Amino acid sequence: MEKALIGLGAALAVGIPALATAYAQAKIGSAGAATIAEKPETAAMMIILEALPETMVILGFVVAIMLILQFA
Amino acid sequence: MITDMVNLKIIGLKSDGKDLLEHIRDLGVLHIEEEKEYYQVTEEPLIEKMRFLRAGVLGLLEDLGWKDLDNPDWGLVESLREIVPLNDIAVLEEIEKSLMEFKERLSEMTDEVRALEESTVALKQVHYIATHFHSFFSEEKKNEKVVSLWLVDSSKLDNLLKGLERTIRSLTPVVERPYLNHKAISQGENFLVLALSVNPESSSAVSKLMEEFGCISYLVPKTAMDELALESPNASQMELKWLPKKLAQAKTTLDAAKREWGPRLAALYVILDEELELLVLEKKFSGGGELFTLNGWVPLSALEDTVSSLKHRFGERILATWRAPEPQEWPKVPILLKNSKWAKPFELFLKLLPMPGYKSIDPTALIAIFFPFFAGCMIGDIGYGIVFGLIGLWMFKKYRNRSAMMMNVSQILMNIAILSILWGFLYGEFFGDLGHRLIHLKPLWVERTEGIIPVMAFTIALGMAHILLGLALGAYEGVRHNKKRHVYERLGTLFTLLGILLFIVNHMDLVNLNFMWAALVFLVFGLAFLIKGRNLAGLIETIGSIGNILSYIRIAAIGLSSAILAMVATKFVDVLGVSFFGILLAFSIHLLNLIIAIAGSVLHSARLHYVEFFGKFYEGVGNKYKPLKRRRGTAWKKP
Repeated sequence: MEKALIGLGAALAVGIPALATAYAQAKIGSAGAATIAEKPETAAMMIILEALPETMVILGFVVAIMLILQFA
Repeated sequence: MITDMVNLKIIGLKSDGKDLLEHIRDLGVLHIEEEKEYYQVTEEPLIEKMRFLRAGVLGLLEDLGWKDLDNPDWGLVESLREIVPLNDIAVLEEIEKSLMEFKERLSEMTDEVRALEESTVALKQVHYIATHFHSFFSEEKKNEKVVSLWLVDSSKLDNLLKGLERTIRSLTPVVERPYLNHKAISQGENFLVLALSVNPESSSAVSKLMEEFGCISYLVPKTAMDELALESPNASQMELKWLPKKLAQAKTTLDAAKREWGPRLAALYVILDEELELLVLEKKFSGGGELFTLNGWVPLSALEDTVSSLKHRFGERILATWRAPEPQEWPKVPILLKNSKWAKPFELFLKLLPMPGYKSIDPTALIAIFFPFFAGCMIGDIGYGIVFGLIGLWMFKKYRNRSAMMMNVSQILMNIAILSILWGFLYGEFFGDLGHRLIHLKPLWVERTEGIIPVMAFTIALGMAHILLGLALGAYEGVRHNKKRHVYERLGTLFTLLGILLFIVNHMDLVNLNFMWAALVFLVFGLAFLIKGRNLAGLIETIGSIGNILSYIRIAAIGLSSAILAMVATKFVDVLGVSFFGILLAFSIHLLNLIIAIAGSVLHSARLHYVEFFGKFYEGVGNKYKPLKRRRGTAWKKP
């Protein structure tokens, strides 16, 4: 039971930031595509903005790994 | 490296103006300083005509859908240059006239293709309906009934038929039998085409009722055929036989026109664009007295050749003076990147950003080192590395001397492939654990799926080194451009991070030395610099930098997911055996993983550079070096 809860915690640590990242990237992506269509020179900036929210999942992944390695 | 530039001023006789500009264009090294007047020469009829014509040619190329824009026929360009005197307005008018004629022909051809395509679609629909209703039409017409077609909402059909029966019964005399016959065929999800057959006397009342129910009379498209098609499916079938042939013929004619006119129009565009540029410059210098002055920038390495060529051509009739740019001029000095062969392809990454400022750091060489290193660390598989290497080699051969950008991409891919193979040996991976299973391949360092902590620690250390390097470069840039606040801020963050690093090393007993005092000294100096630079806001910069370093864990995370997916692919062979289905599934998953691996590793490595690394020192404030020269290479078409 305890292991299952740890597993659930690790899954939530990655899953919730992943959902948040997906939501943010969807918004940024649509706005970015529209911006690039009008100003192609902003492509690099848009890639940067699109990639920014991913940090949340990376940190969630670290927390998940820590949870599993420390407690499981 | 950013090339050193020299400001070159040429003073000469106005009578030599045109020759001089042509000579400079042939040399192709002088970046003429852009001034407002450059764009304001509009009153000259020749220039206006040429601009109009250039826009027209570009429009025709778009209409023609000529795709080979990156590779115009340079032989044709040269021959057009020789035979077409573009500085004669009568010639331009003749060209315009012939272009207008071609435009009319082109629109006739495209209209024909479009009309035939629409007819084909409509006729297919008519044929489908005609086949379905043919027997119904024949039978009912034989009995002298009136048949009509309606587009009906499927959900209203039952109520509609009941209403029709009631109406027809009320209209029919008592001695006669009411008559209503119908047949339907679905049209999409929610509609159907309904054929109704009634006595001639109740026809108008039925039409009225149908319209009240919101039904639409179904008309056969005029472009397809007349109503007879519905009564004779053979007629529509006959039409369907020859229509595609006619369409193919029209498309062939259009393609032939595209092949014939595309290269000609592209060549015309190139020479018009060149001549227009030269003409505008010439007009710019036409005012004033007998002399003109041309001011621009030349790479220092090309200065000697440029000046000697000008002297050789014009002798004492021109005066050329040059000087190095003053610091206050640096923002307007054009930027030309010059890198070694191994680093040059990575200039591609700077093309997505504004150019760096003059006398600042060109990060291309650093990208060439770190980008493949990060991407290779994420992929970390010998098999995948070999596949990417082969793809890179194929692209290199395919696009050699054809597309500079694709050549760069292929070289970057090959660099990533080499580093992936090296990391693959360190992780002991060949298509996941296939190497271990087949030839007992052992990792030289660590197996990623087992030892994630060492890989994560390594990526954090890598991030620390990369960010510290960025901060050091930022401080150097601050010193060079005399921006004291930048220097304090970058050094403050650098020292604080070093202090934290030493503190961690000391706390974890990683080295047999006591670093506590050194850590404290770094922290004190770091905080002092930060407060001097931006007060307390400097601390936020340090926290941001710690976040930047942690962001490098993505290298381990993406690598781990790639390694696990590769192992999953092999597991399918375990579960399903060495069967066709098992191997097919394993192959499919490896293919998917290959795509994810290259896309993920490239995107994330680029992000680590653009966001984390460049944020510490890079300022995109430079202008690109654009010398006056004849159109060559691939980037000839202006947006």
